[in-house]
Amino acid sequence: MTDVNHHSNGVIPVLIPPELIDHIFSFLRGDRLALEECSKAHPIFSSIAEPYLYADVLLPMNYKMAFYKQLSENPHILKFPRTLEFRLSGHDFPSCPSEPEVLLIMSMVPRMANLISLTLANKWPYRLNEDFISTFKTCFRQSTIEELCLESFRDFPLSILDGKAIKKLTFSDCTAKREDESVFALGASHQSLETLIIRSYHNPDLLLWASYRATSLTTLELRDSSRPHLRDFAQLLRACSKTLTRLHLDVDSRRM
Amino acid sequence: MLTAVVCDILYSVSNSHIHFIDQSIYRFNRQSHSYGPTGRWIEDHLVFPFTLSAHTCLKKVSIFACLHFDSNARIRCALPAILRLIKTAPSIPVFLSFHRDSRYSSVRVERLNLSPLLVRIRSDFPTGGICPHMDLHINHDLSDCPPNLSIPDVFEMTDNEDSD
Repeated sequence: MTDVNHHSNGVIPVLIPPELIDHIFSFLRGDRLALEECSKAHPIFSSIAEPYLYADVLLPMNYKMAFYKQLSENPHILKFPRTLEFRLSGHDFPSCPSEPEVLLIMSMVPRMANLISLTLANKWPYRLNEDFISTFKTCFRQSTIEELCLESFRDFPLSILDGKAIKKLTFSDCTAKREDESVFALGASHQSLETLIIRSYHNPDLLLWASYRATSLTTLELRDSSRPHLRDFAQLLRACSKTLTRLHLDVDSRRM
Repeated sequence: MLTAVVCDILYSVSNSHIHFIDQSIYRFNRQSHSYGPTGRWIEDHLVFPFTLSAHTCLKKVSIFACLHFDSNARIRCALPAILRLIKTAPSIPVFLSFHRDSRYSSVRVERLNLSPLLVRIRSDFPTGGICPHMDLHINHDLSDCPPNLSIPDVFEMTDNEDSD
């Protein structure tokens, strides 16, 4: 048992095992305000709260550089993030130069030893530029990421995913870069990929890629899709017919 | 026998939306019922170009269907296509959820009659055939709902005597 006394400022001494405090703080994961308040109460509380404060990192457009500085100055934080979400501006549609701070943080992703989930979400749909693709590809492959969520990308080069074991993929308002069918057919399938969620706008190439590469799916979801490409979806369904256990469809006859 | 969850609707309020929560399980028996108004259904011609029969491992199918109502409160929904799809693998449990999209409808909620939906389901799964277990949920954006709305007014159901 650790003596967590804090005699200054007239605070009543308390004797609470740090394991217990840690257990209590674990229930606050996701409640950033509460964790921040708790961490200010005592230096020991601060160190115990830190992993939970950085477990789920959501980076809005204006905070990326501040976060990068924080990571640079406190590299021990790198082991805390389990989910990381970038909110990108995408203001230069249709081809947005990558925000430099995003690339800087991406270069740190391989050092985030416990990172499981990465989300890249654009405000407006846009294409990735070559700098970003190159950096992303390298960092993604070296990372521990198992779940990738992409939102509002056009012509996303799915070859980025080659050679990386991922369990869950979410495409929301995304189109895949057009490739010859033989390119999809020749590549190795993603045997580890269990869940594929396709939401909102998408193109046939995305489904075609999945029907060749995502052949071990256990969960498949087609959500909120306007004018879904049902024939290509049928091909994907056939491809994973031996493994699929859960299927979800959003059906709106006005949009089909 | 088709098992569906439809009546005794509770509701809870959050963020100005009311979500109907189905509570009781009612069983429908084709022989003891009339089928209600059939002229309140608008057929659509959606066909899914796939079946579920080859999916030997499939344990659960969830379908979220949008309901549209025209100015005469007739229902347009892809239910016929959905039912045809479900029937290709009737042993798979189905979670069927409906949502009324109020963006395209000027019909006030108290005028809506969802019994054609149930009639259609019943007529597609007659007694004695193999039917899936089907959980039927109906969600509704009640932003146009008057504050003194009586919930039974929304569902002009006549199936209560069939419950057990």
